[in-house]
Amino acid sequence: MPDKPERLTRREFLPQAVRGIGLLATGGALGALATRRSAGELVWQIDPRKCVACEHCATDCVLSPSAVKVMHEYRVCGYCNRCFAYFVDQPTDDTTAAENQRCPTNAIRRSFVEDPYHQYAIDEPKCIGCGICVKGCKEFGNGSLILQIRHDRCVNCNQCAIATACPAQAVSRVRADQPYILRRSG
Amino acid sequence: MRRGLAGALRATVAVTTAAVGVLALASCLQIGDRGTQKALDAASARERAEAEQRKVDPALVTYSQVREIATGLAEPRGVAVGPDGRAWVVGDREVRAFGAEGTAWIGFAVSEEPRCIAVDDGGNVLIGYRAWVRQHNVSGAVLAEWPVEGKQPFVTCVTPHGGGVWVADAGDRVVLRYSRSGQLTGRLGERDAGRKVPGLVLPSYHLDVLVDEGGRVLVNNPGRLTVETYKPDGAFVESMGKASMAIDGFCGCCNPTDLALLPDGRIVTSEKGIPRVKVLRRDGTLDCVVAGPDDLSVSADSGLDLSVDGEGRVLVLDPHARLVRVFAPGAPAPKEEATK
Repeated sequence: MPDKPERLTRREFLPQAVRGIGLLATGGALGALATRRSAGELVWQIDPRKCVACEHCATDCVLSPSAVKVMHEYRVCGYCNRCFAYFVDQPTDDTTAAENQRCPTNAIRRSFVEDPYHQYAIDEPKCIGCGICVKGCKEFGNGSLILQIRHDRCVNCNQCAIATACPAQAVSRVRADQPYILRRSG
Repeated sequence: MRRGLAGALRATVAVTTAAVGVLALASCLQIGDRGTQKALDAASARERAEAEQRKVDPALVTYSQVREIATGLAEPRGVAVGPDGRAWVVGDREVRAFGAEGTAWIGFAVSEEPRCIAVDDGGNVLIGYRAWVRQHNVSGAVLAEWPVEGKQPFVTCVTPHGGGVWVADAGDRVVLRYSRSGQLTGRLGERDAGRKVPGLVLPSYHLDVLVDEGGRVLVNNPGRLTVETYKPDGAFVESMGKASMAIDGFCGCCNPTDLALLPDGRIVTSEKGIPRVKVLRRDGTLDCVVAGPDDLSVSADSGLDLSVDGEGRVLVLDPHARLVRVFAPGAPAPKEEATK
């Protein structure tokens, strides 16, 4: 008859558990360090000052939906009542009905701040990176919406398909430790 | 035998699972692409329809460009007309005046970036800097200067009138009145429910002020897409204008960007987004068009500073072309069809 399996006492269990957690934490930290992009590494990014919001970002990325998403620089935003990133040129009425919205996937959320100001937030899972809102904001507003390659999605291809398709040569490699280009920085 | 059968079964299940997985992934990708393309097609069709709305009816255009002045500045910001009819321009860190034919007449350097300019009846040059107003003589000597009071002043317009100067501070969303020695003597435009002042809304820094023959103060309120009239004591009189992409309204989120007055009292307005310059009657209705998008080379996010000379010609500062475009009454000649 086999021996009864040894049962751990609480006194034995606790140090082992602590050791286990310690090992896991060390392994995790080492893993994170190993996978973290170093300053010398390069990643692809869009320069918002060159971007013409041509819609290629939505269709040419190897991922679907694209790794490109709209980012909102709130410091630049005018919090417009009539935001032309959000509304079409000629809304049918004063409502936020779908036919009055510029975004083809309903990815912008509008919320009231105080009369007459409104805040506009991007619902990222819905955003396909077409930049139609970017164009509207750039033409009529302050250009606070910009297209950026999201590095939690981008697979950092050797040759970025968007960079090849971009008519404005707005996509280039930037340092991985500074992977985003904001308008206010330049 | 039994082991062989089990192995074959396992292999079949593995291959089938893999195949189903690959098919599912491919299907997902295709659906994603189809959805993206459908959304883009719909948006593109809408954009084409909207582009159509930006065309200006040629019958409304009753001005034509008669001259252009090359400013020679990298970033021209403001234009004004002196009492002798000369055009003055500021930008970079310079002030330049031009003769009748657009030739450079005089100029001087300034110590910081000027934002706007006006020339009074005595020929003194008033320049608005970000947080300062300075009065120069034509040689550039500083005759008076004062800081603009406010939390975050950003001066976008100076307008001399009588013994004072109206100063538009876009940073603090207010129009201030100063004496020539820099003493604050009045303010208007701030929201005040008791006095029924709606308050200036400035999503971007475009605030202009001018004073009409009757002494009433006209201010653009871009965020509300109106032009407002005030009494000099700050009492709100009326607002005019409506939001519309059509030519008789103010387009976009924040227009008009600049104002000027014609000698007969009509108001000249400029817009960004759809760059256009129009003349409004005093009741706010459209009178005519000075210039449409095809007459200007500005990118959409720029404002167009305006000034008017004694003969009713409209000077439009086109910052991207670095030009002052002079438009005079008189319909432009019809454009010839491009030869195919």
